[in-house]
Amino acid sequence: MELERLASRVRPRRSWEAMDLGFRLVQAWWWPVQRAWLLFALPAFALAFLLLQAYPSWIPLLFWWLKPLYERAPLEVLAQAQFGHVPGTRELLRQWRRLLLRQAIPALTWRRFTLIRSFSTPVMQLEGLAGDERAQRLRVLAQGPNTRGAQWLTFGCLHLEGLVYLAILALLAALVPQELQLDWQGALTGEDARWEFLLAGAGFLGTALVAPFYVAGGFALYLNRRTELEAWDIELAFRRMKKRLAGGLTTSIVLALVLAAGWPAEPVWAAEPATATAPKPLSEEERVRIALDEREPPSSAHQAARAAVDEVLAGPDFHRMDTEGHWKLRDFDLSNKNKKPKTARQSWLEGLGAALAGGFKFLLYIALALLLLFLLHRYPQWSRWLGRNPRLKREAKALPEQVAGLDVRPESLPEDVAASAEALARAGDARAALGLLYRASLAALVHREALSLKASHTEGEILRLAQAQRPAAAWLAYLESLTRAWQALAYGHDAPPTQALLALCGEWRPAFDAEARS
Amino acid sequence: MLDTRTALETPEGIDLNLTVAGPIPRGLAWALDFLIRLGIYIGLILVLAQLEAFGIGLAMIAAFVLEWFYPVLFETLNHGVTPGKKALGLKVVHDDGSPVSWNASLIRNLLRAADFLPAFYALGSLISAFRPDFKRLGDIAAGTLVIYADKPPQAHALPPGEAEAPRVSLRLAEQQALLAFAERAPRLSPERQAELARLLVPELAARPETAVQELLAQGRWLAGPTR
Repeated sequence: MELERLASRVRPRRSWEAMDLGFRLVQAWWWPVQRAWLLFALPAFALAFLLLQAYPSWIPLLFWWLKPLYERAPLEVLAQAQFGHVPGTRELLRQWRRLLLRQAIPALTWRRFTLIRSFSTPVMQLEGLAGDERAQRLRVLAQGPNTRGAQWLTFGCLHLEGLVYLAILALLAALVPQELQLDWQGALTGEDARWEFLLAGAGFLGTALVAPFYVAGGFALYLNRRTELEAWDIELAFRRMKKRLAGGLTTSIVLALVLAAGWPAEPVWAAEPATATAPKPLSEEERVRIALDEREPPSSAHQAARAAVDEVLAGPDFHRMDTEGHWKLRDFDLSNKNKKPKTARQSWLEGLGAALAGGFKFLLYIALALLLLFLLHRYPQWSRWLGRNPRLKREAKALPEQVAGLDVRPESLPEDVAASAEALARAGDARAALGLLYRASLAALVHREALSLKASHTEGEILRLAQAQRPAAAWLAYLESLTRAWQALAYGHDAPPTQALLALCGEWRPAFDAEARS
Repeated sequence: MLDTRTALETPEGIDLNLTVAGPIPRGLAWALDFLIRLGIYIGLILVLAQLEAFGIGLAMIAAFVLEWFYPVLFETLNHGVTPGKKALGLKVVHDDGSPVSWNASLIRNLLRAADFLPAFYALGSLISAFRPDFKRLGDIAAGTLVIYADKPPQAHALPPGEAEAPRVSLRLAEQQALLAFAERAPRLSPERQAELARLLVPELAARPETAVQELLAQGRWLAGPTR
């Protein structure tokens, strides 16, 4: 047997995996296998029908009893397909004697009730064994988990058949309209023979669908058992190894011979002074051995590697493919070339349509304009970009009530800021005095000088802003010294001397008090 | 090459072998889970029937929850393994081999309703039987696979004896074959052992008569010292 040609991967599997492989075999050759099964099953079913017309309940039983005979042709197909040849119908028919009659009596009598039929049939059919030989061979093969697997396969396929059968009946029942009054009673009690035929047909379909899987599952279990017993996978690996090593060796030997025949490297050794410590030149035998130990001849390996690298580089991993999609105007034919001449009625209708359309278009424009106006009125903030809405102007000019955490509303300040601050300073409350001065200065900046301050500005930022926006203001120097003093007090708890504080109070009026300046 | 095993390559270039499971083991796992649920239902009904109509109502609610969430809870909380799947050595994973998520598990189990059509999981069984990845409708929708949960491989004890390095440097697959030969030789007939070993006679083994012993020694060398 040439294991290299097997179509399925050879490796030892657990029995469940082996029967799954059987299912894969059916997937690969479903129709040839199914056809081979039908080849003998269909005539048998027809025959049972003809013979037992009077006793329809016995049709399924007879058909079921002959089942082992139909399973031989699909097994033949599966076994040959493993080696690349799928036998056709004619080829199978020519072998009908072998496929049907061989060991038919035992298969239909005392072997009919074995639970491992799918597993034991290949022994009989593919190995061609009979009698004691077969029994002995089966004793060897039918050990271990694969046999249990074959029993489970029988159990599983039996249920699979049953459920397909019931599903077909359920489907038919679901498709019967409710108005149709069917005599279900007759079906259940077997009084109406037509029901028997229907049930037999559904049973045939179920059996037919499942049979290839059963045969293939058993065949795969058989293959698995032999793989296990005879180490097929090891044989394949050893053959591959031999092929590689033998191939590698012949080229290595050629290389070694070339070396021995005098490679240009030789004269270098010869030129060396022959002293006692000089390394002894390798003998030819040793050199051949070194060459033998080389894994592969470098040149061919190098070329192969180069080719492999080129192949990988040419592959999809190293080429980025982007698919872009965008909308594009189709080429419409807008010309009126193909128009037929219109009748009077048509043109009148079209005129009416055009007039109506024009009117509605006009109405729609008005509606759109009204909608826009309404929206502008309802959501005035949308028209900010117009910059003309007086309501918005007012809102936009809303001044901050707080800057740097201080209340800058004019109404929160005392009437005479300088005098109040001075009183506080004299009372020894430097923080309150300075705070009042600074706050009043900010209020003046915001309200009179219209400096655009925000609540989030800090003292330093306000100073820089004032310097940038009002570089020529007279109060700038005062603001700076006031800010420094306030910062030192507020953050550094460093109160200015009373003299300096009083000076700041005194200078506030000329700097910021509007009445004083005017 | 037909096989039920597919290799998933990770970004690191490592092949993860997933062996998908077919309808027969999956059906048996389902049947086992069903029997477990059936036992629970019978127990519940026996106990709750004491409460008469209210108890029957409770039992029906419990049956609803069990029927729909028994597989989901086991799959998500128990690494894709229900008790039935555990007995058969199966587990559910995503297509990329990662553990099954709540989403995927919910989808694949809610779609049992579709696989059940027209009766008794006929549609799901047939679709699964005809697909190379053995997916039923729920698996297709959820992007899940039912695979064999591989146990970590066990080192076989090799028959004691001399160890000798192979005469030629071998590739990984070849070393594995040699090791497999050494491990499985005790279960092969002596004739078969000799037949296999003779395949490698001039290359790895010196003489046909001692080829088996020579290959076994090399296998022992590859296996390394026994601990």
